[in-house]
Amino acid sequence: MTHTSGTRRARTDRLVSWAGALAFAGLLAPVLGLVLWSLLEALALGGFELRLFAALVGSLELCALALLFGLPTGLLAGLHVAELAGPRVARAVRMIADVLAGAPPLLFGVLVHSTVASFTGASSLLPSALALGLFIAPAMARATEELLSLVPEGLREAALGLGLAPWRVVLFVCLPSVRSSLGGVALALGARALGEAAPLLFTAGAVRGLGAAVFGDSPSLALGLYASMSSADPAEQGKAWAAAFVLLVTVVAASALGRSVGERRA
Amino acid sequence: MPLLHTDSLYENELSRLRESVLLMGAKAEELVSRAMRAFSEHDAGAAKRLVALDEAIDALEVAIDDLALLVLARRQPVASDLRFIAAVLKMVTDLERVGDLGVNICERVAELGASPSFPDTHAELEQMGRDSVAMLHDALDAFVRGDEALAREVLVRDARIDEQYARIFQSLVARMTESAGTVDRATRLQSLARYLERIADHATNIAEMVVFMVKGKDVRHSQRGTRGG
Amino acid sequence: MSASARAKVVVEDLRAWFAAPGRPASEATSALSGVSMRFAENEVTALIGPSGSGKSTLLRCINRMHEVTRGAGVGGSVRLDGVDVYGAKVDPVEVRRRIGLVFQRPNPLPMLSVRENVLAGFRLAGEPVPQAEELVESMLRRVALWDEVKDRLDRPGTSLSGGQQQRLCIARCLALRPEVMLMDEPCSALDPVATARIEELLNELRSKITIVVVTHNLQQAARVADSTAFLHQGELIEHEPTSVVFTNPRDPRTENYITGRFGRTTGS
Repeated sequence: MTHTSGTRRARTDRLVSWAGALAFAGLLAPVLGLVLWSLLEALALGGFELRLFAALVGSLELCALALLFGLPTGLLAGLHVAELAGPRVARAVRMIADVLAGAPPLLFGVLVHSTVASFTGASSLLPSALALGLFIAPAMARATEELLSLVPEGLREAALGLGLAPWRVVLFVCLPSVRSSLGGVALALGARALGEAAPLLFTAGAVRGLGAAVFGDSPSLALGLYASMSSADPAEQGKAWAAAFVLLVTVVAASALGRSVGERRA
Repeated sequence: MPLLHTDSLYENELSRLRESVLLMGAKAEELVSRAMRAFSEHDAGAAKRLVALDEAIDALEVAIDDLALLVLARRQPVASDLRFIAAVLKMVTDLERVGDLGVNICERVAELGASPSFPDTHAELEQMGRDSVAMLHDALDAFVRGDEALAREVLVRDARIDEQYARIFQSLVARMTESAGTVDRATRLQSLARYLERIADHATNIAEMVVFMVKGKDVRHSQRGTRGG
Repeated sequence: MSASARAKVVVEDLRAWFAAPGRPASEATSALSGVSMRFAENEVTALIGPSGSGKSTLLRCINRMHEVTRGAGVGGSVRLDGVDVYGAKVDPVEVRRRIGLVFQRPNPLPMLSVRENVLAGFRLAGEPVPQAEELVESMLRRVALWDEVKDRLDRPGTSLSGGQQQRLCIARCLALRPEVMLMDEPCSALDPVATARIEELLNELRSKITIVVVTHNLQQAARVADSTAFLHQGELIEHEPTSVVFTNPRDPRTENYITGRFGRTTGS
């Protein structure tokens, strides 16, 4: 009896693990395929050229600036909700953050375009970064709050019991205990910002391809990709494919880095 | 105690202890009663027949000690349970001594044989024997029922036994001074009286332990002054 | 409690409750209903009682840790050297500094080394610690941990064994030189050897610092405490010298609890 049920269990085990592997492969294939495809297309159409590097740097600059805007704002909002706000305020802020995190990224571009950009001039780095920052902040706020709520009550009480002021407990005990997870979240959000083109459609000025004139006011790989891909010129398309390849690799690398930072010591 | 221990095994151990002490007390009481009957009936062979009873008492003492130590080690009793165990450990020593004294009485009875006696002293000794056994009986009764009032009453009765002892002792001394031929017999009767007085003392000790067990109050030595011996 | 001992902490008509978030206090669950008692200076007081009797709550009210829990409230007074710690001008942070708390589960701060854990009370408060090395050594010696960890001072505090962690937490508490040390079942997560070490430590600290220890281990209370208080359903039933409580308690509820008769009480 134990023998037969044992083999059946083993068979089921095998079946489930194969199904899992298959599903994983199904998810992985498009990503790998896309990377490979873009590389081949770019090579075929002669997309790689020196200026692509400038676009990458521009993207990274934009991303860094966006993180600078988005992370502290999100962090502080999350801290406030988790540690200081009353239950009613916390619920309200949480709901707003959820709505913002779920909103189409295009909206942030529209928002910044119709407010800030009218002062700074339409096409510049600053409003673009602001739009991306707005896109990052709600997710960061929710992540911060979730992570802080995972801090064991015992740790908080240990620190309070030592006669530490509550704000010191949050800043020097609770936050450090989740700092690696927070770092991971920040990098993952940076990777998402890197690949996001929609918020930039309005703020990055006139949308042009990755061609010679483009880099001056549209220093984003993602946005350039969108524009160049829409072009009928095969050379532009080749650049778009090259941009796609670089973008994908960068995003995957950033995500992997974020994951490894988050997992270390966690 | 209206409530039983939640741990029924523990409850069981305590009631086994209580029953063993009671059994031991009953045997000690029986031994002394039968020794005194042998005295009344000049029964020289009683000592031999009562040896088995004394051995049973000794065996019970060992068994109770073992069980009490086991409970101490295993349960770490506190409060009323602790006082109960402490009382039991002391009481078994007293009861064992009572058994020995009963055997001693039989030995003196055998030595006395059927030789001529002093009728009034005999009557007084028989009365003293009845009183001592009654004290022992009541002390054990107080133990079983946790009856502090009865235990205190037993304590008071010890003074009367001491008086009886003093009176018997004096009258026997008087006889010995009258005639040297009575010394042999009179000293044996004196020993017998002393045994009974001791038995009453042990009953008193038990009654004191009962008061301690019930009330947590130590009444030992508080009336030493009135006690003879 | 010897009659001559000065009272370090006096609790009067202390009430404590827990309210569900967003519900009024009138619907709260009561944890303590009017407890009054004195804690003698430089003695060990044990709080015993069944789960839910309010002994941990009483402990946490003394250094204002009770109110940290959401929905928790306090009424009545707790006086430390005659000053109400719930007074309007009193900073709870200051109270917790003077009245240390050791928890049931050892809780060294996970991101700090053994050394930094001892100094945590100062460092995390942003205070300089003159002669930090000496303080670390003397505190670790005091809890008999120095010889075991002197080569591992830079390892994480959480790398120690459970018993060592608890002694580290006591060292961390003592480093702040508290006047009162509260201990909430400090040995319940420890093995008998580690427990014996902590009890030995309590014995050494006695007469230097006022200690209140909550314990489910009656034998532990009997071993370490000068006086023992029995709490039941949020009320103080009796508080007597330990020798009295464990040989001849006054109240039948105490008697029933410590002798292991947990059935219904007879309404006395």
